[in-house]
Amino acid sequence: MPQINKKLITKCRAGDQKSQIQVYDLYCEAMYNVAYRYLGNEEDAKDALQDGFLKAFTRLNQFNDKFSFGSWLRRIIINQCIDKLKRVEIETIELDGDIEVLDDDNWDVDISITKEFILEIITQLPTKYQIVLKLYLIEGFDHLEISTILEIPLKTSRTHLRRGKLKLKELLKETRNEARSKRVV
Amino acid sequence: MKQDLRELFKETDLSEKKLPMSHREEFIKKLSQKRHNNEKKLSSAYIANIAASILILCMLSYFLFYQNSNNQNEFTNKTFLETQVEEIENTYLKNIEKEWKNFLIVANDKNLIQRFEQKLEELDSDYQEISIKYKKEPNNILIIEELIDNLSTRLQLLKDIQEHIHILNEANV
Repeated sequence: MPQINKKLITKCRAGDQKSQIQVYDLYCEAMYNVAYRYLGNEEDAKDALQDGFLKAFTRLNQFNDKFSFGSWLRRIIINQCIDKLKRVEIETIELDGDIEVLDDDNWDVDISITKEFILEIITQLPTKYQIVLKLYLIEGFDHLEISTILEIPLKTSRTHLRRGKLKLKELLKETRNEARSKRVV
Repeated sequence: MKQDLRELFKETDLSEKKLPMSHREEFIKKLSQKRHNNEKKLSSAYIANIAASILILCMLSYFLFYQNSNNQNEFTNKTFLETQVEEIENTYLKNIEKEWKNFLIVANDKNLIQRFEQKLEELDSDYQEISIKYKKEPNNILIIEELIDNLSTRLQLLKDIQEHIHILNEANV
């Protein structure tokens, strides 16, 4: 993540366009990759990126040193993406038969599986699972952060993640078995 | 052999995607557009303010002129001026009441509500004092201005805090 000095932020806050463009140049690549991860489409990712930056500039007075500027900005960009993905889609979750609490902390998969392969499999899951898995694994957010970003109860965030993980593991297994059986034939 | 997914994602960076061409020009355009809109918004609010002030001044000078030219008939003039001030007062109080209700809906912080309640009460007690002065000198423009200032401060206070809450809620950070 690039570094940014306080002076530049102060200038942006005052509405100095040159400084704002400078900040955009510093962070646009990294933030574009974040947006692309959620939207999976170049045009949408670019729009979410730019609208997110505009939003961030108008809210700079809320930025404090508690976070790094990059992670503050990333939250705004992610929120922008989630808005685009329509929150409704994420909120509809059935909380029935919630018994798979066992093994909640087990994230083990076979060592031969690569990160790229997992990412590819994640994109095949339903959107609501995709989003929580990405927020948790890639961004490293905890449940409290995830539930605030998605505006869902903590419990729902846990359930999404647990089910998402199970689905991911199932799909990983299936895809590998298929590949293996093809090899045998 | 097993590996922990969480550890796997902690390690290296993910693949880099390049931004589409001309994204920078597009952003600069959006940035300028936004600034332009903001300036327009600001200036229209400014003009509205000036217009309101001029209106009040016109009204007051009309009252004074009217009164001077009809010194004999003081009773009717006084009521006319008073009804106007009363009308302004009522409109403000209605709006303040409305904004206060809105504020109670959006604010979920007891301390905040208490703080604002106190501020409004203070302004209200100031208002009562000015009102007493006004009753003694019902034609003093400065006193009438003080009254209106007090009311508009209350209204603005409520609008500002709601705007602030709104921004906070949207930001979610």
